[in-house]
Amino acid sequence: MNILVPLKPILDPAGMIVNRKAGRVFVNRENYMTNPADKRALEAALRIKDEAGAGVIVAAFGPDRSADSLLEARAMGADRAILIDIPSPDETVSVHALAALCHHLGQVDLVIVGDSALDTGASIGPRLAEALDFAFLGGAVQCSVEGNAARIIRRGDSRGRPDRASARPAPAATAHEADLPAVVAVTREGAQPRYPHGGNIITAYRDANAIESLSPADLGLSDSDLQPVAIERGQSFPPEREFGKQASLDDIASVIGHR
Amino acid sequence: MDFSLTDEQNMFRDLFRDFAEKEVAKLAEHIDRSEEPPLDLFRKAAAQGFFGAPIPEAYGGVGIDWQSYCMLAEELSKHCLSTAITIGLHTSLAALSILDAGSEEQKQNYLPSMAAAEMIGAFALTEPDAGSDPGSMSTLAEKIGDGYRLNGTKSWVSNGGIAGVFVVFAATDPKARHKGLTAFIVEKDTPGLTLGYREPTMGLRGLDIRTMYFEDCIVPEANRLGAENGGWPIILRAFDRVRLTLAAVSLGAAEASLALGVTFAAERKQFGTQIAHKQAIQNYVADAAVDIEALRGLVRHAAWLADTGQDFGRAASMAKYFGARAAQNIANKMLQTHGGYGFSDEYAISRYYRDVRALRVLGGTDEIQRYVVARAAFEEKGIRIQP
Amino acid sequence: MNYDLPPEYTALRRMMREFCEEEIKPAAKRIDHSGQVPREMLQRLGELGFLGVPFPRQYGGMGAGEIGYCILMEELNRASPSVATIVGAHIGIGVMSLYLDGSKTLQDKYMPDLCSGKKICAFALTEPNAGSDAAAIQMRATLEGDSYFLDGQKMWITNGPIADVINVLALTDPALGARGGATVFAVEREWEGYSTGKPERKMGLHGSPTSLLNFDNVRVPKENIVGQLGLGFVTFMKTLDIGRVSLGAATLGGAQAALEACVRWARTRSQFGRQIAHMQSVQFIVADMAAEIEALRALVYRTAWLVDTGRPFIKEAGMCKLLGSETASRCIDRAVQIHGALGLSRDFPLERAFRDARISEIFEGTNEIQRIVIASELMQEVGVRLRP
Repeated sequence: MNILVPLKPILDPAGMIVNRKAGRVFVNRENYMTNPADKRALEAALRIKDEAGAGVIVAAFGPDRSADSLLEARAMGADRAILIDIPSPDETVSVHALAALCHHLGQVDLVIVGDSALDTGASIGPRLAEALDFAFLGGAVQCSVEGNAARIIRRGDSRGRPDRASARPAPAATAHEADLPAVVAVTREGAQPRYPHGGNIITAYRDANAIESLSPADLGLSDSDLQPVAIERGQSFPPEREFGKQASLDDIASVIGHR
Repeated sequence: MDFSLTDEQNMFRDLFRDFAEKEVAKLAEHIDRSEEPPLDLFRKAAAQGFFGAPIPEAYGGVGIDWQSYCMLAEELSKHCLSTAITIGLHTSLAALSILDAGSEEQKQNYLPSMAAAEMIGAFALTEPDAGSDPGSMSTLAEKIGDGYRLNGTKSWVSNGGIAGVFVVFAATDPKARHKGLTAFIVEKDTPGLTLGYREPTMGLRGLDIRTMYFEDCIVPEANRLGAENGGWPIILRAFDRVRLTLAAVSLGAAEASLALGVTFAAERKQFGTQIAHKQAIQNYVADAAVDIEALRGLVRHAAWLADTGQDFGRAASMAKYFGARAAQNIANKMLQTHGGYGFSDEYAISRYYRDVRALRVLGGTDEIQRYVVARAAFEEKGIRIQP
Repeated sequence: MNYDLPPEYTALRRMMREFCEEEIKPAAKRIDHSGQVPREMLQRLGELGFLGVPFPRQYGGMGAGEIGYCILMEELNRASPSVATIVGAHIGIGVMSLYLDGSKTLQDKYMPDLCSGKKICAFALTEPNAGSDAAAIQMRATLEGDSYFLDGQKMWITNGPIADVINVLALTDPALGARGGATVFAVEREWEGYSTGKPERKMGLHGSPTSLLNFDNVRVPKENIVGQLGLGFVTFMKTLDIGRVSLGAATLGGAQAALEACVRWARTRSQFGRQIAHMQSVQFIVADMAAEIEALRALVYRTAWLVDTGRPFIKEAGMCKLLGSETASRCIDRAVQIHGALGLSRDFPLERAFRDARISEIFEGTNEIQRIVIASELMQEVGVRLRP
């Protein structure tokens, strides 16, 4: 069984300062990290590998900044790392390329993605499932493979919004299953990613063949597949929210009285 | 990661060391006593290419990298700080500012003769009331026709008395403070420029430091360096360069002081043994050696940043601040090692003791360096501090 | 010349920092109060290869050399000096002496367990009457048949109470003295006649246990000689030389933590209507710390590079230890000052850092000894041989 996990390197938010007055986000330290949900998706895949045995393939878009994410994944236990040579694709292009990668690799039974990226987008999972005609399971905090099915645990609304019809609190967690092949989206509440053995880091980084590189041509992607649908026109802050009014006792009394 | 010097850098260092030992060492004491800048020595150094060391070959220089340039400053200052600083300020402040901001014509006009030491360079920035805060300068440059009329006073101009060309800063828009400064290239004989008083100084007695007066001094527009009101970035980049240079000078001075102390301790006998065997002396020597090694790391690191095109301002400030303090400390301890002899002008350590004190003031005071370093530390946390 | 750390070391540092921030730093206060580092934590360090950073993969190490080891010590000490000290004594001097001079058989026997954290190592040199003057040791090892019998006492042994394997220096030929007549033995804790004293009560490093070791005629088979008979002093001195580089790296981490605390605090704290970051007195303290730390960093990693590339490094190693310990103490002292009364509060980490840092000026060769080492190297260049 093969599991594909796409990884996205993002700018570490700890190095950024938001300055509303200047209308800008200042980057004090330009550090890249693997998107947290993607890292949890990788952990889910590695757990399936540990329990049931599977080949774990990680993929990222490059050429810049992705090497660290891929090599770290290799050190954690991924069997192959693939760098797709498309610099910063939008979600549409990403979905085209990942679907093409699945076809290129042949036997991919399960794709585990992070359900959202900290910087942009949360639609890779369902769109990729649609493109591949796979089943889709979203919001997973746990993922396993049983027989020919992917099984996930989805956490219920833990704030316990009462179910109006039955007046009972919502269940804490639900289990869902779908036949393979499937796409699973793991949330940031998924299992804590493991630390790699330090020796594996050294080995992965010193191995010149740790990362395989694929060009759009290798994947059979045409120019139209690489055309982004969305165009970025600029950035701005959402309008500032007004402060609420501090209610006086009289105000409150009048509201209660009115009721 | 690789901390070794390249063959070329090693070769340059040997060349610098050789010259310093053969030519500079024998003159150092004379320079200090006579208080005269050694013009003959400068001509010899220029023949070796030292005055144009970092200037590209296309403009008559040698085009060495920062690592080697720092070793030039280090090797010269092992024997004579005045000479090292004369050459250091000539290149890092004056010549490289012209290279940095000058037009092709200005570079062609000035750099070859500066590299040959036919024209020594000076940098006129400080004023009686504008030291660490250049934004408050009062020398004015008024636009008239196709030139500028300069009026005002510059003080503490190193190399002032021997310079053929000055890089002068004046306010073209005084209200804008540091954003209204403009740089000019002014030649020595320009009418309206008068050289004043030579500062008598505690140390660095071979360095000719002058006050300069501008009275309706007309500078043609062709001699404006960079854009009008564009002087501030030129100053900042010159600061980075001079700080790195002076850090390397501190390194050389510290090494020379230590060597003097070690040699003396190996010869001087008290209580029947060489004082080298006294742990008190060993402690001075060890502390000095540690500081020197750490300083060398800072200087080399900053030079590497400069050579690889990275921002080296913070690293240069750190190295200069750490270096100046270390050099003073070491000269002091090594003078102590000499006992009464250290106080005598017969021993070179007393000259170093007087000379190194200037390093904590020259090229930006200790306090300004610390501000620069602190600013960088706070900027990372998203807070901007004011000087 | 190239100051860039190769990318694998940057990745290693990222992983180590993440681990230290998440798993060790939150426990640092508890470690100080309870006076011990949980064995599971050491086990966990072993699983990730932390306990064998400079040693080859075949022994379960990381194969990351002295540079990797310095990164580890810097990051560990940034989080908890107690943990760093246990690991430093374990890797830097304990296992290191086995690795440098031990026979293949001894290395195969002990190193896998030591690198994986199943066993902890200690290095026993100091005795009641042999501190800075290490050559004055009195512990005896007498040959009877195929075994040596060790008799005597070792003092101030870091990891003493928890060590499973102890490398100990004893006189095999008292007539020759330590230089030429001393040998290193690897001793296991279960062996008869070996016992440890009560953990010492110390000002700082509460989590790093230190004790006396008693050897009451402990029988040690000949195979457990580390290195050559009679050359144990050389083995130990060589080990200490390398250990000083990583100790310098550890102090770097402590100083760095103090600087970071100051910058954070200067941003949060306001007095006279503005953040104290805007006060020049505070700026200058921060700047001094930053400059000194940068100088130390340049020295430590350059020395680690000297070690990894097989160049001479003894003088520089002494410098790392000397400059590092004094820089760290000074930086932490200044950090306490900037924090005002909070710097003295036991609810705040600086108070602990202040107590923990002081020992670095003493152990692994006092700073006075380092100064003598450095001075004698320099004096040798002008032809004077110093007497200790």
